[in-house]
Amino acid sequence: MAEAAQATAVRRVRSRPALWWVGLVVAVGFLAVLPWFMKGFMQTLMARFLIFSIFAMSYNIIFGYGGMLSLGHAAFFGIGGYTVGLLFLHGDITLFWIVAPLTVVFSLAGGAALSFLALRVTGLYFLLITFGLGQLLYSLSWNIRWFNSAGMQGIAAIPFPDMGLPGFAWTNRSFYYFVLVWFVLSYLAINRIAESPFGRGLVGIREGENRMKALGYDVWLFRYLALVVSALFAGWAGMLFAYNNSFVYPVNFSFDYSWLPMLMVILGGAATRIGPIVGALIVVFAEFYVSQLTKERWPLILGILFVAVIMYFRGGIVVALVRLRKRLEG
Amino acid sequence: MDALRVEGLTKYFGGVKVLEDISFEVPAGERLAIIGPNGAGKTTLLNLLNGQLEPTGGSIFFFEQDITRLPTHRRAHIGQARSFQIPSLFTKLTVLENTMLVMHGLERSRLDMVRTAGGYARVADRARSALEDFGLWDKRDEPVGRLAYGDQRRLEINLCMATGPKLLLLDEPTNGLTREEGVAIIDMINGRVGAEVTVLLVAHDMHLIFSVADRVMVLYDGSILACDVCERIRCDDRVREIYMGV
Ligand SMILES: Nc1ncnc2c1ncn2[C@@H]1O[C@H](COP(=O)(O)OP(=O)(O)OP(=O)(O)O)[C@@H](O)[C@H]1O
Ligand SMILES: [Mg+2]
Repeated sequence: MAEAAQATAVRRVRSRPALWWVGLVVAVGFLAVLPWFMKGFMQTLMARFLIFSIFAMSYNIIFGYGGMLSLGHAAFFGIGGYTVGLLFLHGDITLFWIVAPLTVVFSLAGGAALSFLALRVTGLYFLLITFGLGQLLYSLSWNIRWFNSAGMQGIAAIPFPDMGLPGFAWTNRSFYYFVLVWFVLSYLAINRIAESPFGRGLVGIREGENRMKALGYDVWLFRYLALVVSALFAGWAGMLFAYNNSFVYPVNFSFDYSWLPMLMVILGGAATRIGPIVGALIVVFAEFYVSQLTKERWPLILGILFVAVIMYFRGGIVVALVRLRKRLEG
Repeated sequence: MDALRVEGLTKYFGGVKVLEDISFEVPAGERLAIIGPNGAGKTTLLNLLNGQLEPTGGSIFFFEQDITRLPTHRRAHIGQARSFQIPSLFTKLTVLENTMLVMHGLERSRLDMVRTAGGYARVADRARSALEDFGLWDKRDEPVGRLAYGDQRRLEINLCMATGPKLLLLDEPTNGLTREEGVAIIDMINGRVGAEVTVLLVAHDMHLIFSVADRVMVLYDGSILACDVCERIRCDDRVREIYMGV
């Protein structure tokens, strides 16, 4: 009896406040009714925001919780996108029930192989090698004709997935809901991982790997598994991106795309639950509106945003808001 | 049986010789204090025993198992626990989070990605009763960095002992503490560590360790100057001259 009481007492320390669940339901409900008040292209933009949220959340696993600064995360995103693109281009395969499992397989295999190479080294060299691996895939996909539609760079005109349902036809709105489902599932799964013993161990390793080794943690294995798991979610995001965007290009592998989730995570708040989502929201919509005004200035504005956050909101917007609330509450 | 048997252990950093041809045995259950002036190689010796460093030469046997090349985390699983000279608790994480990390370290479930860390009744129970034992349960949600330095040190040493290790490697557990706090730590080690547990304890304060140690090893300039029971170390002229500056 006493033991059971103790156990629940400890669990209560960790369990979520009811308010958290209310917040989740309200947020998902809001996202679910939103497309009814939006034009088609806006629904596509919203889907893009949710897809980049998944991409950023996957980066949060390795960078936020694991403290590993990878400059090549887009390698996995590109693997997902090109799985869709190449199956369509060379096999005319669009059946989701084939594409999706293969996306999982290639993301995991790519994650396992590339992460193994990247983790041969640590520190600054990890940064360099991840950068190099991403650029390598970028260069290969650029130069090998097999990776490109005839007469262009990239693979164009990728259709929405064939769900194998007779009489079912996609609209922008229904695809948005499809993405929303994967977004919610990814959010729950990634937060579950973050709060699992594995996720806690990852945080410990971020804070001090020597102590963690002495406590019995296999630091290399933790980092490796974190990279592979995050590759899976990044690849899945890449798959959804290919459908939503209807084409993939070599840049999807490159640093131009690796830096987006990094920016989103830092902007929103590393190692926080909703930080990557807030970051994705800001970056995706800022990109859209800024590009309408002045397309060539977008990278400049992105850079300024980044510098401003590093200088004034280190820890990210979510952390800054939590601090503000605490200050207001006294 | 010997908990530790060290044969010809040697460590160079680049060309610099830090430990040379060290050999000794520690019977199971012994409390061995390691003393020596700054830079004598005490921390380096613990780093070799616990696997933070690889030796340049020699072998280490832990309960007759050759562990010379075994990675640190594997040594933890076969019964070694260590504390560091510099406090190493994660100051940004809470007392409970730090405790859970220690409790999970030796469990298979540490690699579990699905269940939440707090959901493990058994591990959580152990964390709770350990913290209640240390008198820190009420501070469980405080980041460790906000505890008083003495409390941090006490928690760290306590956590070291909490997983039931066979060998404790404590690198200056009283480092940075007041005399009274130091005595309290030593009393804690005396009181809490079972007689079957082997303890290697590095310290500067000779008087402090005489109350806990069965034997004292004096390291000087990378070699063992003397290794004997307390009384004889106290009377050893070389030790008095070199270490105590008498
Ligand atoms: N990683 C390293 N690289 C190079 N030299 C090192 C390294 N670690 C220790 N040393 C050197 O080895 C010698 C022994 O260091 P060690 O830390 O083992 O001494 P110690 O007996 O623990 O001293 P203290 O009482 O100050 O803690 C010192 O001269 C130190 O400068
Ligand atoms: Mg030392």
